[in-house]
Amino acid sequence: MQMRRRAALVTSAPMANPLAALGHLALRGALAALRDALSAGEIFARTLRALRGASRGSRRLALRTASQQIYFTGVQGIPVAGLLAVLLGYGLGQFVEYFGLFPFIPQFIEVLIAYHLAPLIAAIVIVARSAAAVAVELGNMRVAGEIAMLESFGIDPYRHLALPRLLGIVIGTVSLCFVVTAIALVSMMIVVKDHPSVGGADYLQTIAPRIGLRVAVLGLTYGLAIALVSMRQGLDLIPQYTEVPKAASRAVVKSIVLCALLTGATTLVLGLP
Amino acid sequence: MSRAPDELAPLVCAGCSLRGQEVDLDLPPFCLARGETLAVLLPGAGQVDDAGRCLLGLRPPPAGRIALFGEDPARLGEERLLELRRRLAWAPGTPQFLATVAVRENVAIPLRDRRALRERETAERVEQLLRRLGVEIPPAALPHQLDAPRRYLAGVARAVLTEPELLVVGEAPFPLPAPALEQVSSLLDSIRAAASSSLLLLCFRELHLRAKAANIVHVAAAPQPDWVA
Repeated sequence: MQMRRRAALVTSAPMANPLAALGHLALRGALAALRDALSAGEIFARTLRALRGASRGSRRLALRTASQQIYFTGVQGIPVAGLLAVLLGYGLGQFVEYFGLFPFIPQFIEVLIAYHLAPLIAAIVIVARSAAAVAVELGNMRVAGEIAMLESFGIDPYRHLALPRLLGIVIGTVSLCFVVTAIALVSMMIVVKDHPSVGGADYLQTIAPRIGLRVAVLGLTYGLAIALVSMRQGLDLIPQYTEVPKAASRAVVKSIVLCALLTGATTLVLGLP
Repeated sequence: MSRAPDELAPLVCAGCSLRGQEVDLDLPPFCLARGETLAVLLPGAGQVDDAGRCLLGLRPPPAGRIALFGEDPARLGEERLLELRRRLAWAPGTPQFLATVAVRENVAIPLRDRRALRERETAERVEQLLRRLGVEIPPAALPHQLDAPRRYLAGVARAVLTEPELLVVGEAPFPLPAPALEQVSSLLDSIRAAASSSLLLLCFRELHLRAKAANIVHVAAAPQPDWVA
């Protein structure tokens, strides 16, 4: 009885002081983030290690699954992401026209569209389409014993399941980031093309290499983050069917938060033009 | 350092107990030598897959010791364990397949992983073995679209195709149709005659009789708890 009372005191202690409760929550969040990061790092290391000693047949199988994943992630996401990109470009064009912000068009194009919004829209579409799907698929495989079946034949699940998904999501994300950025830029240019301060094709050619590099970096980091977060949620779940939807939800939320943080981090590290 | 002969055997069970897990089972000590066929006669269908998991180191027994090719799977790292498992193959009574992959592809996965064969050769080997087992599987059929006997036969084909050093076959928990049982027995017979693989049969009904296993290890049923009486 005395012990129970003491335990109640311990658990309720941070609640008595709002600041302490906030600190407690922050500490728990930081620890959980650290655990997630370590686990995702382990999955990444094991996936790379799984490349070693792969037979020709298993490499072919992994490539086939990776190409399917590229199709699901990159190609099938184009209609939705493309529509959002058109809306983004068209909306920003209208905004520029309405407020007469023509001198700021280069900033709108480079900083707002190419460095932030367009790649982030591509990432969010991929999170919605692929992160949840990968977490659910791997989670169901864990619960149904399919991963144990692969292990029983000596097949490394990281080579057979994780590697193709990692490759597919990274390549698909980079490609979709480029497609969405291009569509958004074209949509905006269509709206503001008649104004004399718009640089036209020459201007676009000047900024293309800079934009290309930044979009590639963002696509790569988003792709890695989405793939690792969703695979970690799927592979590391408690093997019960009730855990699978929770894993899918966690994969989506954590991927979106991570992508937003990565956008900020990339701007901080690589700077603005 | 020289090794004792039984350390080199594909499988040595120094007696192990699965009590306290999902199934109450005590496996007596036995040794499966190279090229030998041994049947472990279990008390019921429910123990077949659990015994298999335990013997192949997929679920370490709470008590006792297993040695696969002279190594204790419970003490191996994951990479070494995967390497060790590539020398054996398991056809459980209730086989698992990748649910979103066609059954024929499922059957070919371990073969593709272990041997550098051309795509066409892999498909031919799968087709040949499925035909030998007398099982018709449409090319695009998914695991859930097959009935239990066909899934069982596909599981046997998947294991046999890899030509392992140690083949573990669990008896199906349901009665197989007579022709299917004949085909499985004949396939196991040919493996036994070739002595290319050591064969461990986990049976409870008739597989050991059909496969003419000379050595049979009897596993006693666990005593019933008081409340059953």
